[in-house]
Amino acid sequence: MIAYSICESPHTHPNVLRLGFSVWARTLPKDYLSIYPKAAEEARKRAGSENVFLCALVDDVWPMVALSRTYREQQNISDRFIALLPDLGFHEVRLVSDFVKDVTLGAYLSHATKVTVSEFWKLLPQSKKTISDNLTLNEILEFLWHIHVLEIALSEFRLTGLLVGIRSEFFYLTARKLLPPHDVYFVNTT
Amino acid sequence: MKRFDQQFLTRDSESWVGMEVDELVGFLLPKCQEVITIDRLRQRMSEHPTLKVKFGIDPTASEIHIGHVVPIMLLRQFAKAGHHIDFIIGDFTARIGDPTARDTGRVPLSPEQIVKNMETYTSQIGKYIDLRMLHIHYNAEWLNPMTLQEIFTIFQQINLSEAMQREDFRARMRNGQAVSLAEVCYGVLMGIDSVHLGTHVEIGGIDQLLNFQQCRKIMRQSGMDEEVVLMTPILEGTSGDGKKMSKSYGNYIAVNATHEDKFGKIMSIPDRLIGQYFRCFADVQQRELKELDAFIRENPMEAKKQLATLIVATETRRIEDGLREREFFERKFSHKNICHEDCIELTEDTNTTILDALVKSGQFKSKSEIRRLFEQQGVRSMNENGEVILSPEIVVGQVRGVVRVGKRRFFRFVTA
Repeated sequence: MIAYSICESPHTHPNVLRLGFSVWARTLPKDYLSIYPKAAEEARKRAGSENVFLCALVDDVWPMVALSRTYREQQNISDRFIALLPDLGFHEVRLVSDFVKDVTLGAYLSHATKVTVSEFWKLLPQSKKTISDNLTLNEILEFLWHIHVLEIALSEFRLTGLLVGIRSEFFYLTARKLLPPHDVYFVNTT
Repeated sequence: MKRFDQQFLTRDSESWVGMEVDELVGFLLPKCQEVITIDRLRQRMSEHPTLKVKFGIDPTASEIHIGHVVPIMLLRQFAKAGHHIDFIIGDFTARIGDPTARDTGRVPLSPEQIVKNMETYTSQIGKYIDLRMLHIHYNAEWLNPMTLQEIFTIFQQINLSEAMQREDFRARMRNGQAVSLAEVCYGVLMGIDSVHLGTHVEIGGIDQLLNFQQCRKIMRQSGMDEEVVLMTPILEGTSGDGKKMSKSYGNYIAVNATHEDKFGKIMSIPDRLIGQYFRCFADVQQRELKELDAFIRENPMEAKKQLATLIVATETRRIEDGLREREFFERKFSHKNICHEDCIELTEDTNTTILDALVKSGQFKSKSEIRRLFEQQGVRSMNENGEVILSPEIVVGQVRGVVRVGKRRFFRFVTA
């Protein structure tokens, strides 16, 4: 289930994994989401940890902006996530709007100085590249926003690492350059 | 002899408020390499008695040279004509770094460096433009607090491939140099500045063309009239090899240089640059260009002296300061009449070589610098019979008259 992992979190004691899993709050792909708690358990065994906590980081801010949802629409969707994720095996559910207070450009643009165009192009999924004529600078904005969210979550919830889909491999490999040291477990989702 | 220096300097102190559109455009155009577009500029001038004119800088360096002053001289013309000048200090964009004409990415600046650089910068441009005429803004004021929603609305209008495919970016990537994501966003942020300020006219160097195009696009897509852009040429350096003026090429004239140094360096530019420098630093009316160019062609040395006089005098708004330097220069170079104060006196043993004596003088960075000057035949003794090229082995006791080392250093040897 886990393709490979990179372990460099400084938080190894007590021997407990606190893994973050980031998800956009849109329609609920139950089957897909249920893979992650199982993967978290596998990560615990691999690491020989005593325990594992899987924290879902539900981004309810970006979709509201990107899909022009109203606050009410977004709240309904977020509520469904909050209700369902614990049943699927997630130990904690955190809404991004609750822990990311600074949504201003100044808070996250500085990350953009550390990533090159070539690196960025590599991390875009192939599906997007085939329609590259339709891509806008918001691809960059989304990337920066996501890094901003992860940076705060790692510190706020004292996460030891992130559990991520292998399809987003380049994204999280690039993110490692920008975020404090953490573990990454790449999960096979196919 | 026609005195363009005096004519232009007198004009310098005139107010141009209320000047006819055609007359003002006639003063602006000689300073521009490109205008987008002249018709729109005239139209804007007719529609708005007070135009909002924007000029932005990123305080990336503390010491500037006169090449940086070229767009300031154009800005000054708008200020003289009573237009509203928005002077943008890119404290936000400096954290990203303008990618324009860079071989490599710029190093983003810290807030402390920005403040320090700005203090030095304004003290330098204050020699050329009355700072009280500027409405100074820091772009972090509006860029920093922009929300995700606000920036999203603007970014969605810009095609990613287009933004990443700028010619300067492609050139850098071809050379294996990195281009950062922040640099890709730079032009858009400049455009947000223009939207925020409701800019009518923007001024900058021709190397900013790609950024200005982004600005115009952002304004258009925000439902505003696109700004008119006036772009000044990139000033060629003093060495005459076609390279732009730059500290790294060593072909620059520092704004903080002494009057003597400035005058001397202007005198060292090749004749073909005299016209360009006049256009950049003087208020030349378009209809006067023919006469000015003819004058330069027929009297290049005199034209260059007038240019140097003007550039020195522009700083202080006093022609006397320029004329004093001219007189000093002529005494030293044209008339070979070096007075006591122009020379450094070195007392040495008769058998000391002049190479060693010059090393001991402490006036040079290294012995090899002096050796190079000898190799270039740049060390000469000057007496009533003309100049004699000296070799480094010649001893102090054999030297007659004043010794010129390089272009502007003079020594008199006294035997102990």
